[in-house]
Amino acid sequence: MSWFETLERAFESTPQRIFEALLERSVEVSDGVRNLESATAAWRADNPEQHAAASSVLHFAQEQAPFTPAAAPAPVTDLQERATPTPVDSVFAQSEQQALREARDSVDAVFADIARNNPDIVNSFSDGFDLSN
Amino acid sequence: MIQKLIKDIVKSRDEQRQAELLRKLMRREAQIGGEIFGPLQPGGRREFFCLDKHTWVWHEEWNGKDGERQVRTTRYDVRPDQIVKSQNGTYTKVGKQEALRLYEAAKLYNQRVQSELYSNVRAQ
Repeated sequence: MSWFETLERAFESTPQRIFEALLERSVEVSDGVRNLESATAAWRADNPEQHAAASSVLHFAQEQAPFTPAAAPAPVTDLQERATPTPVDSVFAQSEQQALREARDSVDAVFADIARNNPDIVNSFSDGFDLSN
Repeated sequence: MIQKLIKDIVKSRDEQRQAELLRKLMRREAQIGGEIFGPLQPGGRREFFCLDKHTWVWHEEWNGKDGERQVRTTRYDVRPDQIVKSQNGTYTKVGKQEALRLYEAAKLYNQRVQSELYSNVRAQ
């Protein structure tokens, strides 16, 4: 296997890394909510009706102004100011392509340096070059 | 030695990419979190996100009455029996009403990000 092929194999692990990152954040956010749930358990038990009343997003946001800094202005009703979210899949695809290009450039530069300074070595380490870790 | 060098470079690069990916996810979460409280005043900016499983961050920017840009970042540290709020280096214990609102916000945030970002790997 040439080192080009080896690097290709390494880059093919990217989807797995993406999955791991998604899972890590998903678990972290869920744990974050659970910790809040535990920290507020006693208060919620004291006042279950308040817990139920906060189910509406906008009602919750606009009428109750949750922990908004005191000096912040009152919310306005112009929804046009809200930015349209970029589709996440598209963002991920673009960022991954960019990362892939940067990684290729970086590794190519390293190999170019090695090839200049140690032309005989380049041919010798392509075998057994383990990128699995 | 060269094999190890290359391996270390590739591994380091991989870790950097992983860290950057996590940051991208958090930036997207922060945008989503900023939307759950409704509209902003023109020129305003709001982000709300889970920094880690013990920390929630609220970031708000707005134009003050005199036109001066105002910025405030509020950090909530969630402990087993209380929540501590940090603003401008000042720590205060969060009261009942604020804590319950924070909890409701976090639940909404969780629903949105799990649905919009993590539906394929949803944690149970």
